[in-house]
Amino acid sequence: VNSMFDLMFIALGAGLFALAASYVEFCGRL
Amino acid sequence: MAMTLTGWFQIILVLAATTAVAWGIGIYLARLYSGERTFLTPVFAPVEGLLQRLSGIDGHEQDWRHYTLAMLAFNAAGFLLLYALMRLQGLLPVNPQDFGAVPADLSFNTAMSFVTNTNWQAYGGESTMSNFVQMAGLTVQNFLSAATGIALAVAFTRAFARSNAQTLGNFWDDLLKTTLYVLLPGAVLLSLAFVALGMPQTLAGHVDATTLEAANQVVAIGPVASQEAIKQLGTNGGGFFSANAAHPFENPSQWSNMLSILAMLLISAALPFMFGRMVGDGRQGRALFIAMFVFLVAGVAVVYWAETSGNPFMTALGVDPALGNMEGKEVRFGQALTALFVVVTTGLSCGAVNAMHTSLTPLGGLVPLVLIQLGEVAPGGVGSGLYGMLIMAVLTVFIAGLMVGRTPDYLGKKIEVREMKLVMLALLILPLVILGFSAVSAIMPMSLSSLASAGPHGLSEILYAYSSGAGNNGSAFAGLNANTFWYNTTLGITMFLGRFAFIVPMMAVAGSLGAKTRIPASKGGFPTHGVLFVTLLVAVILIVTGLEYFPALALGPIVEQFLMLAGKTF
Repeated sequence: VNSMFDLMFIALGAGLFALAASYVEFCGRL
Repeated sequence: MAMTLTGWFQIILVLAATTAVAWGIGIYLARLYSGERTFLTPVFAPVEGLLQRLSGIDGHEQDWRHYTLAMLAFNAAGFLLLYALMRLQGLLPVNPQDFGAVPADLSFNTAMSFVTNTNWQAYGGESTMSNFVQMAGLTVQNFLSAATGIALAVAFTRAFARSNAQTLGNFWDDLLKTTLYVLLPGAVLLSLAFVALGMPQTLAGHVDATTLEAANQVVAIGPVASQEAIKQLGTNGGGFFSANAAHPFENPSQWSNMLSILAMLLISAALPFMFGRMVGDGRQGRALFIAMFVFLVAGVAVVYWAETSGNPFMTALGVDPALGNMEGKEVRFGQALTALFVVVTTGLSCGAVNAMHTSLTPLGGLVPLVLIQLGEVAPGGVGSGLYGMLIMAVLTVFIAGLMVGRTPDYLGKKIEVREMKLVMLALLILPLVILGFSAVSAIMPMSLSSLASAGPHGLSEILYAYSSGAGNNGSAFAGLNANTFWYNTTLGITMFLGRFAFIVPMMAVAGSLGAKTRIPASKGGFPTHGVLFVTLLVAVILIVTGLEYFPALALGPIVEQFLMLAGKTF
């Protein structure tokens, strides 16, 4: 287990979902 | 060899059986999601009630924002859990082959793949994943990603069915109902049928066999039938084995092949009928269903014809052309049902394969690629096919409105500037991701080194990978070595954007339309259940897809077909 890579991919996945959540707000205001 | 009457009879038989069963399931789904009693209510209502109490689902109605955010939170948790299961595989039980942790980049790719209903597999299942990860991780996500898609399609349907509505249902309730009343009973029945047809279902890891040459051979087995059932029913497509449905344990015979095709199509074909019933006009659902099947039948005709026409290079090598192009195909399925499987698995966003798509003739390979690029609407993945088609229907009535100079409406809901902005946001994400990542991958040595072929076929391999990822299909052109840091990461991002960056604006359209008053149809309106609408809908989808992808397709499979006829191969 390589903790640096794990951190990176978990952050990437979580970041994408967070981005999608903020996209909900963006589309709501459009 | 030419197409045969028997071949077409097989194709028509499967499609006719699918239509008949799908119609019945459509009625069942409409009753289920309208809160009416179904024949399974006495069986599952107590379980549903218990699960609702345990999980705190109270069924209160959510507006589109809360519905979408609940869906995102659920899928984010699914991603993290699946990633953890793969990374900790070596420490977990039911691991008869003693597999260690799945590499980090492959775990990211696979977790995104199964959460988004793509099931792109950059690994060989039997040589990478333990039975525990296959069952508790991958198969569970097969159910949940399919249930997510269906729930979203139901929410979008309610937007048209309701008038002045601020809410679209409850995500948790829809998710639970879909899993309990639709996917679970369907998968159990199908698993039993698959076991009866010869698929293995065991927790053992492998069988040691002695070959005729007295060599020792390890034959991988496992809980294949149960994963196969939900893989097809939920249009997931991720196989237990690397060779997917070409493997004799995943697809032993003509019968299992036909049942697999039927199972893949069933729910996606049923959802338009559900839509028609829920909006109170069955003709509307039938129109969408016919538009979906126009692409399907046309696709089968082209693939069947192209593959039976054969490959001139093989004929020149002395291979008997009587069977057509048999490279990469299984003799037990034959040309007709291979063509149908190829078209169904890509017209749907399933992605299971019973033949190697890279071995199809260039024209035969063009069809699955285009079907994915249509936006997975023919008839598309479970749920995603219906909401994708509805987005195209909204675009079609808008264009029709521009032609005749009146405010367009669809099922009594006025389509205005805000909806069109959101429709465009949803539609443009797919070409942006597919063409963007393909372009970058076509020039970088790091990504080019993964190619098995040069020239236009190499470009097709890259284009197919990103189209399959963004369309949440999951099938591969098979020549590309995608298990690299670059492809695992970028395809993971592609799958995410293809799924959720489409869903968010789509749900915003649903919220916007649901809140509008449903006006009764007037005489001057554009009827959306007739031949004219279906023709226009098919034309709009073709034109939009052509504008987006034709230049790339011309450089890939189209030029390759001409070069093949001119005697050049890659």
